[in-house]
Amino acid sequence: MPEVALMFSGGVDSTMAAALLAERFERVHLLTYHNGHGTAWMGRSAKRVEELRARYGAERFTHTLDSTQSFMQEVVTRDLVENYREYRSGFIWCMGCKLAMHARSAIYCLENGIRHMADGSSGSTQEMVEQMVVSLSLIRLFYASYGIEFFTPVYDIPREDEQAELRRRGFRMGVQILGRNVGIQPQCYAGLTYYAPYLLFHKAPDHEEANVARFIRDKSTIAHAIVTRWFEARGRAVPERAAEAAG
Amino acid sequence: MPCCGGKKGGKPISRLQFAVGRVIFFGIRVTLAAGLGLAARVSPRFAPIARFWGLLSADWERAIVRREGIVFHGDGHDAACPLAPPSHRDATGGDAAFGSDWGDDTLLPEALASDELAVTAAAREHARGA
Repeated sequence: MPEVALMFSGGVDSTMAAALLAERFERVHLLTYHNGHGTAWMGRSAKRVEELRARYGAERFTHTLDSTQSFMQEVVTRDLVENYREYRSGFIWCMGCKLAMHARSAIYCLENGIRHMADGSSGSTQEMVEQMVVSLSLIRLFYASYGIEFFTPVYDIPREDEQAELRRRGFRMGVQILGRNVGIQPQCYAGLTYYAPYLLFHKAPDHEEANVARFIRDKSTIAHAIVTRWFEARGRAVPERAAEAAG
Repeated sequence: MPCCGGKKGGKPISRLQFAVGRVIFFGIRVTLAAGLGLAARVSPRFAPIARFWGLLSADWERAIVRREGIVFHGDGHDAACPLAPPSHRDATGGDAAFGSDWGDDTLLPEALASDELAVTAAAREHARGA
């Protein structure tokens, strides 16, 4: 298969995904985003890309570092307080941020004629709202409406297996603290804050499935509008969009 | 509601961990309020962000004080939200995906490979009047 795009941070999951995709696709487009709201250490992703290029060939990977701040403004921050009162959970920040990234990724795929899109979602971190099955299912529909197949190549690989395999392949693993590898990927301080009660007290995040699904479907409308406007603003044909299966 | 508590969600902690956690959480809350409060004074665009994190951390604080969703060792209901085993692990021990011959069907978890789940999730949401 020719080309695939992958949301890439350089952490364990997305690095494993990139390595696996490099075995199946001729070229892997690695997409790294910062949202302009407390993201730091962005250079770590580029270092990881160099490791991947050294192992699988420089021509196999392209890397793009882009900002989703303006998209984040539309999807998340514009109606933030109102949305919090409506959904009564802070997941709106992380899920909205991820939707902004998916909108940007869809644009990237459409501009470059890429029909396969992946991310490093993992069943080992299903406490993260964007990695819940319901979230991934609806994201899959979002991409499918543009004729793009979205998939999650490492979802069912246990974290411990990924860590062992990356170590075997000679990747840097950073410092392991509480089962997480620190120092190998950018840091999102807002995300870290959101999961503080989970990390400190083992308090499960309030990610009620129907609530999350309602939010995604609500914000997907904005994400689609962002994609449309992107192409209109550049005087280019707006991609045709099939109706979403459950729309 | 399906379990989405992750590996740790609902698992018991010690009273010491709770106490240390409260100190750390207090630090986070104060830092957030000070940082975002200052940012909101400098630029109005930060005002809703400061407001959001203020509301959220206040709600968390209330829940933590009431120990909502927080279990201590010995409370008698450990692991309130057990994580289901991976649904798609290879029967040979989970290493199949690392081989050079992993097939297309290993790209996707079974659940995500099917549109049925997505449609089901969305339909369920519609049914609830969203």
